[in-house]
Amino acid sequence: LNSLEYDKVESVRQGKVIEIGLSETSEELATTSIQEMCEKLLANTVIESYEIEII
Amino acid sequence: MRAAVIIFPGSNCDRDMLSALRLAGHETVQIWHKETELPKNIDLIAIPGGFSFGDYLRCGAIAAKSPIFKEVIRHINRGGYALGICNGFQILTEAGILPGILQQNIGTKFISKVLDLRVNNTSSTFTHKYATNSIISIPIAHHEGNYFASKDDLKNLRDKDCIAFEYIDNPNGALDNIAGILSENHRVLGMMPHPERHIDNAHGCQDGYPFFEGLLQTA
Repeated sequence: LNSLEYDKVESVRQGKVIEIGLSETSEELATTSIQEMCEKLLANTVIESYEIEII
Repeated sequence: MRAAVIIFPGSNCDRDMLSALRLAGHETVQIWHKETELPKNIDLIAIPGGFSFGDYLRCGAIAAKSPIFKEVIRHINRGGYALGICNGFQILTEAGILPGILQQNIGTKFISKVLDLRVNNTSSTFTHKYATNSIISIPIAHHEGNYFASKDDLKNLRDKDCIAFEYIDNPNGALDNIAGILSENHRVLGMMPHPERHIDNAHGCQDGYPFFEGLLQTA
């Protein structure tokens, strides 16, 4: 990007966004449940970290 | 030995695995990943190479959660033998059976070539036919073979003599040149190289044959 003359680019990171539709109205329960999913399958915590955002 | 070869959508080394096991005199059965039970009296579970579930999410991650895997884990927890080659190794790490993970190769390219391995552990059922520190020629073919483990896991692997094979000339950036590791009880082995591709005269090399031959006898 710097060589394309975007001089202000200081860092670049690529990651994954996984969108999950959940039939759950409690934000707390939804977070707990998705956290479990991340630990069990969605992320490999040996090398990956994750953040959960509820929209 | 009676061996079960587990097949996932995208497995492509299952027939090679079957041939190698049969050539060495083992009885084999093929198991589809959707099965929920293993046949009785299985001694060894063999997880072949390939691209299970198209490597979606992470290599081996989805296969490690497939229906048959509950039984695979039960077999291993009972002290049963298991072998994972290439994608099979990735699946065993994703299932948490073996420590660490296989990351993308340094250089980001798929590498397919024949290279030399040092046999470090020669006491396991998989490796006891080899002389300690012998150098064997075995093909590799992978894109995610760059082994990584935490400091604690690596120390544990060393302390418990769990590093089975090392690359002489590291092709993929693997930590400490690790090409294959054993579980603590030395009954589960995962490795990126393909010993089943060097078993027959027609392969031009038979350095992989002792690997399968040794499974007949207890180490």
